[in-house]
Amino acid sequence: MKQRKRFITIFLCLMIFIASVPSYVFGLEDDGSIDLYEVFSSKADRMKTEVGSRIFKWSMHLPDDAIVYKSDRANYFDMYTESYQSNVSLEVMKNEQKYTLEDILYSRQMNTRDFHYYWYYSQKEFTFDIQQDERGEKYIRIVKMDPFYDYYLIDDAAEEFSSYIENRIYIKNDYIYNLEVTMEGRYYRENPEMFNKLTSSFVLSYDENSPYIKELSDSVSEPRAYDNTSYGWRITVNPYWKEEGISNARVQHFTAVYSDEEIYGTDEDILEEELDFNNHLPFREGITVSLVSSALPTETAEGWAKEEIQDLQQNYNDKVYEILQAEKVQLGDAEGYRVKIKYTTIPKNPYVVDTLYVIGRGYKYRLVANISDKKYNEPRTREAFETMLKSFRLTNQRSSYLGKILDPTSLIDWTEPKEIKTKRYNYKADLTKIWHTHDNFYSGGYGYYDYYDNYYYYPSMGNQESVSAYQTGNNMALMMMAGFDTRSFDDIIKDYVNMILERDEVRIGLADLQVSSATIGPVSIYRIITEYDLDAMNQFALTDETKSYDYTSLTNQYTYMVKLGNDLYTQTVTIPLANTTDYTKRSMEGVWKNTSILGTNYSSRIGSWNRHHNSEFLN
Amino acid sequence: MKKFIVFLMIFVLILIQPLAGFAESPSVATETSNEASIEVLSNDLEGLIKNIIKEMLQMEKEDGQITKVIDEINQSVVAIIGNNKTYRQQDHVYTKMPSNLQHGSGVIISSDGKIITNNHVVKDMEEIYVVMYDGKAYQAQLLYRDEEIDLALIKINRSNVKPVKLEAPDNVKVGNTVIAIGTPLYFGYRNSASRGIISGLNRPVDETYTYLQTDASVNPGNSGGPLVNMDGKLVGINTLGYVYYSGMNFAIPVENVSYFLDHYHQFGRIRRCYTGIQFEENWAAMLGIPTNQGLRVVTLRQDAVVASSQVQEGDMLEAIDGIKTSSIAAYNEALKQYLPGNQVTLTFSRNNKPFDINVTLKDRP
Repeated sequence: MKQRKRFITIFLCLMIFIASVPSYVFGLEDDGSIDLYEVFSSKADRMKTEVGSRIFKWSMHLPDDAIVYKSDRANYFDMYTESYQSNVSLEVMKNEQKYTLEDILYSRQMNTRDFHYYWYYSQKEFTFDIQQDERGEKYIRIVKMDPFYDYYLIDDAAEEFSSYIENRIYIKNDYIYNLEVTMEGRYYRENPEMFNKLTSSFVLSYDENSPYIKELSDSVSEPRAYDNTSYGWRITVNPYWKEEGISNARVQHFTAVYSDEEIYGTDEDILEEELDFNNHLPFREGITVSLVSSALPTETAEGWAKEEIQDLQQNYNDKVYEILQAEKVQLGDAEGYRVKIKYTTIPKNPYVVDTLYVIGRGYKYRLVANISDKKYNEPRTREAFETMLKSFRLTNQRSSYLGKILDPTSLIDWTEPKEIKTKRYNYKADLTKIWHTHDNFYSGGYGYYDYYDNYYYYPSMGNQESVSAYQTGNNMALMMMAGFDTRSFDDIIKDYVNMILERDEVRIGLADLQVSSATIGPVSIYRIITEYDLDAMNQFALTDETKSYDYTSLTNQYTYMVKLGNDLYTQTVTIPLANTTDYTKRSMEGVWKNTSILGTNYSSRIGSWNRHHNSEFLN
Repeated sequence: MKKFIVFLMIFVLILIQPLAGFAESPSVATETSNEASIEVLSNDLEGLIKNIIKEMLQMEKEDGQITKVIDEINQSVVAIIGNNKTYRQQDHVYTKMPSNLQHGSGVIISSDGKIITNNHVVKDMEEIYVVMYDGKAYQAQLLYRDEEIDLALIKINRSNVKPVKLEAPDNVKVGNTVIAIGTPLYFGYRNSASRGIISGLNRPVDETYTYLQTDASVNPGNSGGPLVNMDGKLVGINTLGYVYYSGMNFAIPVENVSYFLDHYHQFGRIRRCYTGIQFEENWAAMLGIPTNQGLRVVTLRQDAVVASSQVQEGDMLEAIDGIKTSSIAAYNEALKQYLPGNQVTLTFSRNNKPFDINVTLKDRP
């Protein structure tokens, strides 16, 4: 009991003491000696006196008042410092052509000659030399002045006011470095040592252990949580990856800032291949997270994913994709479904699309990772994608304005009739709403199909009129055209078929051309089918290094031509080779079956097609 | 220089005095008309010079007065600075200088270190720092701020500071010479003073309250600083201005400053009156065109002080206790005179027929 009392007494004394501290402290007057430099200086950056890039391996002096602008990749750096009345810029570029300093000097000097030398654009060079810096690095030294003042001032006055500019061009680490320091003219003449301080501080190395260097990419050098607080999700962003565009977007894209080669250094050959490959990317490499729509209570991620797989199977030729993975995954408290598909629509550059379907908190989220198969097979890159995908979580922090986002696809009856017709000619096809027409609502949509020409010009025809439609998801396109054409129908067909026969792929048998005709009374109808042989194309592309095809843009064509009087009616359905399936071909056939010209449906009246030999049409 | 000119004028005046003396003793009759002309001329000249001297002395007196006012008020004017916590750091820009610093001005209103400033100066500051005229810096504590009236009260831990005196609202007249002091544009320009006049009163700048208009230069950074008259008394808090026009600046009038402070001291916050009636403004009010049109009732909130059987959509609120309400700012200004619980008469009209409803004002949620 005694002990308890003692404890309570001590406790109360302690409480009274603690409670009296703030009032005592508050009672003390501040002396007004706060140093606001200390208050507002970043603790982390306080000691930084140099700036540099670990990726591009350089560093230089960082004045305390410097304001630095850098590009996303920090391969372009610009710094202004009032203390030095100077501007420093540095451009780092890959030395792909293996230039030497002499090559660059030659190129620079040649650019200043004769008619290339416009006073307005060029600076006045006074020195063009190759020198060595204090560390023994060779560089091109260019000393020049701004010619602007010479327009207004006479010689000495112009030189007095003109900025003093020095370029130092180095070649090292397989990069070309172009450092340019511009100092206000009068300040330079009075303080040349300040100029030297800046230029001589530039070194072509990066000291990983120095605590004094501000690394230009350090904001992205560590894994970090990215929270989308408008749409309620979180992801861990990999080192040297970053989000693009504005934050908290409904569709947020993340991409690697540097290639593995830049970060880790790899074989030059791989880089070159990557560059080449990048030129043919059908997508932007990276991860895209989007809130698709609200979810119905009955919807599951698995059900949603399976619908998409079914859609893929209907609309993609099974020879251009392989489903690598389709399984349930748990992402925190949300259930997801992961579908990993390898596409070979570009046989030389297969790529993997790894999609996470997630339903939670009443919404449907989709994460799509696009990666080349080559990179997917590199453990480090694959791991980076895996880490980000697996880190995805739904959060409860989202905008209070986020309401219901209807999925419009489920609201529309795609089997409802839709008429596609030309305005002047009585030429129409009775289709369904699955065929979209080009108008303001659909142009610039979600990139399902980017065929925007509403008017197809065919040089041999006058008074032309055309109408087009397309399907999303498979890029099937329909073009119906009518016009005035006085050539004989035989000549028209011959010209048209010849044009196709001249294609090299047709000529060497990679694509098959079938010309058939039918006659209904006095009316002749031609059907011209051009179909690529996918296996043969694959074989051809894989055995010849120089040949590359993209099966999403290479199209099979199904054309019907009818001539009535002097008017020619043409209907062409194109299906990308990658999307040519039984399903899409049935859809294509449905178009002709439901087409009428001047009120007559010729399709239903055709008994049989008469197949022509292609040699009949050769010139 | 001015002194030199004054002495010069006095010297000239002494020189021309004999002219008048000479004119007073004519000796030849034929010279009378000429002499008269000379006399008129010398009288005019003397009067003119006297006026010039008088005006110059007056100007010098005013200059001295302005210097004195600025000197006195400067000790009450502070600069306020802090990091704005709402700015997103831009990855493509790096500087050791904090890129989200923002600053404004303030004025001391009590000797124990209470400072009034604009709400928009401090509302997003992570921590508030105050720099006094003598260059001393203090961390300030936010006591209270109100978004609508755009005022905030902060406090530093320093006593025996010199507060500004508040002018009585009735003494604030259009044409009064006023001085704005603050920290325009750059923190190094602390305690910059500019002179102007009160150009207008009761200006409906926004829908909330009316402002005092002045042509004294007010720039970004002046916000929260004092506008004082030639007695060195506060007539307004410099708050906003048109950027691409000249001499169109606005200050929160001293009566609204008093209203803010009185409510804070009495209730710890502004207790605003509430009717629960939603209005739309007519276009004339939006354009500042004088009109007798009232405020059109749009809807009644559930907790409105009137029932839907009394007031309908489309009715016009004409006045509160006889004070016309032709704009929402005028409506707010009228309500400012009351406290929740007070009874007022709302005058409405329907189909041009007026009717009164007595209501008890509520506390705004």
